[in-house]
Amino acid sequence: VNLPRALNEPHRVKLRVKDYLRLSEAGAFGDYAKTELIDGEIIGLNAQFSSHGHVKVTLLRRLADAVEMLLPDHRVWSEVSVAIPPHDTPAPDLLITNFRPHPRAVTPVETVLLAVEVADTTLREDLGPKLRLYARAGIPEYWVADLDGRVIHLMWSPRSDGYAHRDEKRFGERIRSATITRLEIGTDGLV
Amino acid sequence: MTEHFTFEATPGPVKLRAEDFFLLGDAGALSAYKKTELLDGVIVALSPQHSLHGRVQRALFRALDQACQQLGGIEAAFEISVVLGPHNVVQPDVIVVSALPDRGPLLAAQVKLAVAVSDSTLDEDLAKAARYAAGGIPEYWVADANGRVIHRMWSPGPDGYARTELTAFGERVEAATIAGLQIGREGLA
Repeated sequence: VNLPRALNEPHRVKLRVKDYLRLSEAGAFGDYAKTELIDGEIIGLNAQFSSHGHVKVTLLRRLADAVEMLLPDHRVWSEVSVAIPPHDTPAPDLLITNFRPHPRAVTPVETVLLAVEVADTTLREDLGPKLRLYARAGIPEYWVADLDGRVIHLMWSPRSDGYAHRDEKRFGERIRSATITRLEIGTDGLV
Repeated sequence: MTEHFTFEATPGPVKLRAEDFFLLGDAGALSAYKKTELLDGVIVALSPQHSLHGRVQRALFRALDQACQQLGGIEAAFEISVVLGPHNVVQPDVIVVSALPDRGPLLAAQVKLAVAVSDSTLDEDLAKAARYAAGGIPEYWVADANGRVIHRMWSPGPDGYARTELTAFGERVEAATIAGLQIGREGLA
């Protein structure tokens, strides 16, 4: 038989969501501040820059205020793991979900309306593999705040290979969600 | 005055540890794969084996097992996971040990000789020599089934083995570090 080359050679085993959660529970990631499972590989992040934290918390407060008024059954969470079976469990910097919190449950991707990443060193990943992952998983809208470029990328209409629509706003401008009616926040004071 | 610290925060792959690898194995997470190893913290699935590989592996196991029995005090075994270090667990095709532990993983310190049989993986098996040496395995053989030679390596150091010799299949093969352990001409004829 002519096996495909990849099968005929040693290759990295892709871990699944349940393998990742099992390892996490066993304390395997104790050395890391944050980990994600991306395409079956566990990625670790040790620490965060101060501006990353500032922008994240500023956006969190403004989004949370807006969501409380517009969508009382939804919440804004920060760095919460989202299960995208079989091989991905990212933890977006911010997300809007209506999932009922449970101590032993991971947020299912179907409950996520919006995911936000704040990018300093991770811009390439956030606008590359992560964008494609979120689109493929059907997250309706995705924002990336680019700290160096001082812009926010707004993306919506997920497809299997990316988002069909994109817009870009400079830090300081007001941004409006394309998929959540009347959701609008200011981006002044993001540094 | 306030001191400002800066740092690199680029995300990188998390290296799994031997205990993580065994945890996943025991939970059945790797059962879809015939053979897996942990190499520098990454779980790697190994190639399916062809009959040439199987023939050479069987011949080497039989010959080494016989030689061990004649010598006494050591035994041959095959395809058992060996912990080389915190992030490396390999599964050589044949090993020689003084005794297999009743349970638990086999540690590098318990292995006297490790043998890899290569048909399609010669480069990888030779490259693995550095890991075996760093793990402290006293002697490592790579049997090249296509080239019909055995690369014998011993005197391990942190970067590899200091000594290497080649022996053609069909010649007498003698272990450099286990006195009296040898395979006769008929062993791999």
